[in-house]
Amino acid sequence: MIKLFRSDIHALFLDKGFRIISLFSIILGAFMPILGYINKIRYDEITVFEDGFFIFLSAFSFSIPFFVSLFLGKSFEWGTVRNKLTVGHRRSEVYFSFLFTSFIGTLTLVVLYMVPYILLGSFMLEKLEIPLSYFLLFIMAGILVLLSLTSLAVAINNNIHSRAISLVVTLCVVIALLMIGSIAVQMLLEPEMITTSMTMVDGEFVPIDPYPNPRHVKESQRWIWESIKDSTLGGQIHQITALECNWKSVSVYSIALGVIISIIGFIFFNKKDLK
Amino acid sequence: MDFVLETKNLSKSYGHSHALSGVDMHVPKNSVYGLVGRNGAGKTTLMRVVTGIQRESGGSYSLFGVDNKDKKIVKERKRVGSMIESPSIFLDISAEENLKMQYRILGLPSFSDIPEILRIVGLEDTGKKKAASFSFGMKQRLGIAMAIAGSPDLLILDEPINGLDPEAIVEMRELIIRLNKEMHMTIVVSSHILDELSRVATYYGFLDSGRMVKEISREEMDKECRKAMRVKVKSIEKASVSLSRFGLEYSIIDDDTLDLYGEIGFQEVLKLLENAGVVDIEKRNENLEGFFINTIGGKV
Repeated sequence: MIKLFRSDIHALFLDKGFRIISLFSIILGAFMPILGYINKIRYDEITVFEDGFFIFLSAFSFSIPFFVSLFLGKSFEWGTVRNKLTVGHRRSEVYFSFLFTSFIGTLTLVVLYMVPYILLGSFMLEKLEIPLSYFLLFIMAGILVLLSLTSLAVAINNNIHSRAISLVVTLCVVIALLMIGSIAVQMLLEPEMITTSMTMVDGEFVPIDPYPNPRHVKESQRWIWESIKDSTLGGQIHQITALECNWKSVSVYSIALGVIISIIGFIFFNKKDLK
Repeated sequence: MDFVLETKNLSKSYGHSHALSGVDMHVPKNSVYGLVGRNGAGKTTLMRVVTGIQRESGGSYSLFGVDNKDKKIVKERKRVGSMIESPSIFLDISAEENLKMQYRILGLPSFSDIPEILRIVGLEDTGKKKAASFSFGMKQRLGIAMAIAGSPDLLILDEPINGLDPEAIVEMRELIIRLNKEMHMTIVVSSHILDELSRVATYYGFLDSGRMVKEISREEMDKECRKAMRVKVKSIEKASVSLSRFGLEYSIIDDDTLDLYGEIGFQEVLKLLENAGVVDIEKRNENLEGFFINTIGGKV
């Protein structure tokens, strides 16, 4: 598999689509501190180092499906996957080489984002407010979230061999996960009592006594929505971006989902008749 | 005889559709095996299964004597090169870069053979030109270059001359012959252009509706395809005596049928075999195309 992996890595770094997305990552990494600096000059706004740092999670939620679909889709559409199988590489080697290559691609994008951000942010932005250890743990959790997303993209693209269709399907799944996670976050934020309601009596606004919020998630169901928040892309990104991340839970869910999705993806790929 | 590729009762189904049914195939070492069949006969499916791109539904095959279910088949697959249906090439890089990719996949340590491979297939002057801007014939040749990277012992080519202009067809034919004679590759090649196939193949396999109808060597084919009149008679013994008396070459096909060779007209045959009682006469076709039509049509 090492031979195959080397070949796939080489192909990835030659891929035009990946190079364009890499350039986008560098630009995004430079843009955020510059934006913070401009706000400081113009509006006297203080931007601390971690503000906006984790925006890459949202951006890469869409970049990763693009580069995986273009890279893997090309291999299947052009038939170059056949070259690997006919010379004796097993299906498992092909699948997991694509997976690990895509991981390297994701990590490369993250590094290409972080390097300009750190370099420019070090003198354009204020110092970190949160402890460095938490910051690093949030970065780790964020990377695991992206690797889990990469597993999902690889699983879909190994089984749908049209670049266009696989990209659409992957993006639809990503959007669905973002939405579900956001809904879970919103559900959990609903307070138990509504305290700020007013009503009009004789032309004057009169406060209403606090009353139970019907949307408040009760304790018995809370753990379900917490799990959804910690396991879906939308919930994970929200937590990390808001710097309120249950990093242990997010990390465990990301690793577990990545493994499960990869196994399921491989099982289907292994049975598939290729052309 | 040493067989490089053998299939035993090989079957492949897609749902309720049986693409291959009990195919027995024998590819002798150092031969050029022409796989002949109509569209949808199962040629490409057969090639996909034996190259490992798809799994068989039943039966088995062996490469260089190793059964496909044996783990050692992985090692034998490294001795196989193929171009199935279309060239498997990266369109966004040059011919040389494509071959380097293939070398990496094969795990070959050095790229020193690449210029020679490009010269063999006639792509030595393509430089940095991306494969996407190659002509169809050039892409086919690059596909073959990818297939012969690593000097395989068995080369499987699916319709390599389809869509090529006459000049390119001649070049492809010469390439196949060179690969077989100079590089000692056993080659399995499928084609609809039977005239071209007959110029290169030393063995033939006739596939129809997923079944191997007949396998035959070129020598046997030449015998069968000789200009002849097939005559059905009431008495084969009397016919034999008459023909032998006049020194005519003939071969007895069965109890009431013989093939009469040589330049001889219908009237003459009727006169010669008058006492044997001629029931039917037909002229036999003399080329692969005719043999194919007769074989697939079930007349043979």
